[in-house]
Amino acid sequence: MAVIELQHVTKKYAAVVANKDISLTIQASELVGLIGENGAGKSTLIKQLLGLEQVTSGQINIFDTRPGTAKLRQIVGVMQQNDLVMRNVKVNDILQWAHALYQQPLALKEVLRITNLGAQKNQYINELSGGQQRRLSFGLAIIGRPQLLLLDEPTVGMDVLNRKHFWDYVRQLQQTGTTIIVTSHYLDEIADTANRLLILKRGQLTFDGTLIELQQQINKTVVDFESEQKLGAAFNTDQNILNWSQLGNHYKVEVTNSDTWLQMYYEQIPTFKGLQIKATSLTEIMTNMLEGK
Amino acid sequence: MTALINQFTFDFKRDYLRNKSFVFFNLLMPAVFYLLFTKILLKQAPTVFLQSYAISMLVYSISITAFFSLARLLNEDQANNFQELLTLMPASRKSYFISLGLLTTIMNLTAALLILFLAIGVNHINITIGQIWLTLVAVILVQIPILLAGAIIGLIVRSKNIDAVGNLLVFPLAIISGLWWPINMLPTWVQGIGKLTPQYLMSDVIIKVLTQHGAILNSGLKLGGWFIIFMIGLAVIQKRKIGK
Repeated sequence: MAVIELQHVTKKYAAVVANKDISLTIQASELVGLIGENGAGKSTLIKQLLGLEQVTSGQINIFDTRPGTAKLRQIVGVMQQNDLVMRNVKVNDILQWAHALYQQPLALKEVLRITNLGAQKNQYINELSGGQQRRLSFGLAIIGRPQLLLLDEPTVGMDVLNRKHFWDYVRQLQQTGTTIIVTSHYLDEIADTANRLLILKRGQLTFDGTLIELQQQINKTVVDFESEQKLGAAFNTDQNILNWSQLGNHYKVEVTNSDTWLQMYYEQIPTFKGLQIKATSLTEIMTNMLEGK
Repeated sequence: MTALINQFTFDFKRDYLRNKSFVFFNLLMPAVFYLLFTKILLKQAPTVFLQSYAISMLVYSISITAFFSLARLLNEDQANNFQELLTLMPASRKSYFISLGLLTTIMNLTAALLILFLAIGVNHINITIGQIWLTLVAVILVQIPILLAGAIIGLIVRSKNIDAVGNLLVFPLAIISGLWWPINMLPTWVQGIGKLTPQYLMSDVIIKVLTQHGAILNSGLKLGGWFIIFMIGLAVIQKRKIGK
């Protein structure tokens, strides 16, 4: 079932094109990572999905209706980039307020357990740490048992353990049928969690697929090993090597096909210690992409 | 109705029960000024002055509610993303505004009761329970235009300027509308302007209701005019915000 359908969506602010001719469909239970550099148009796209921004041209359908309708607000959960920092409001107050808005909300105890905010329930929101405020925003996003969850930079400020709990719960939500779109600059987290990647560059959708597909498209493998042999001269003349570096005995070699390349060095392989063959990480791919490589 | 009760419960806790600046600025300050002018600076002031000054301080408190409490609340809710949350969750924006209207009304009624009890208890003014009820009803009605003005300020002024704008409105308006000293002490042309201000008109209506002396139609109609102006202003602002 298509949860989100975008058809030729373009958003312009005067002379600036924030999103350009984006078309895509997101199915139920997908966990989609929306990534791109600052100003790539991610937040604009999220705002359009929420009905906070109107499209300049094109069309967006969410559960077969236009964004921002009352029906959607019951079934779409949102974790915005900016947290609520209200005076005179305790964690329990805002959760009770939100709880009363939904037809079938999660129990407050459950929300406090998921967000690990039980000890802070009587604390004022503006006295919470950055990570705790982020977790409260997550609590507000999931309290209505959403069918679609939009998470904008969800783990900023969260400590390692709370991040782990957060992503565990997000995966659990996906497995129980929730469709999730997440934007983040922590690309390792996206790579570990998302089963589909959307990459935006200057407002355009430049990639739509899985991480493996992206890695195949990049066509680069990193071979990591230690060797006491002097290999620099050979590597410099090796046409199969895209790039290589050496730190002491530690070599890092980037090739298009590691199997073919290693066959060429089969005589030396027994002397290679700690040999590791790694696909290019998402962080590396994005860095290269941003650097225009 | 459930949505309104939920919103009001939330707003009442944060902005009435836990709001220290409300207690200080809306209740204590007008009460202290009332006692200062009527018991310390002007000993044995005539009853008419004790009554009218009580109403002046009540109107002053209502102005603070509008231009400080309500304006700042709306402004903060906008700056801290609560208003955006209202549009993203199945919350009702209408309930939010009605709730804030109810909340500020309760603030103003609390101030009215405090000032009237001081007038009765400390200055021994003879006010019947019937007059108190009528005064409270008058407060509920006459406060509406100035609350709308406060809402406009809260929605259009930047957060860093909100207190400055509040000060620029409350104090000069209090002076030219005759809340601090009798309006006939001001230059004639200032009196002309002062008598058109919502503060003067509110004060005029409430004092006439309290003393049950004089017609309120003229001031009431002028307040109605302010109501229409501010209502149109608020509707235009809301429309522009939703359009964005």
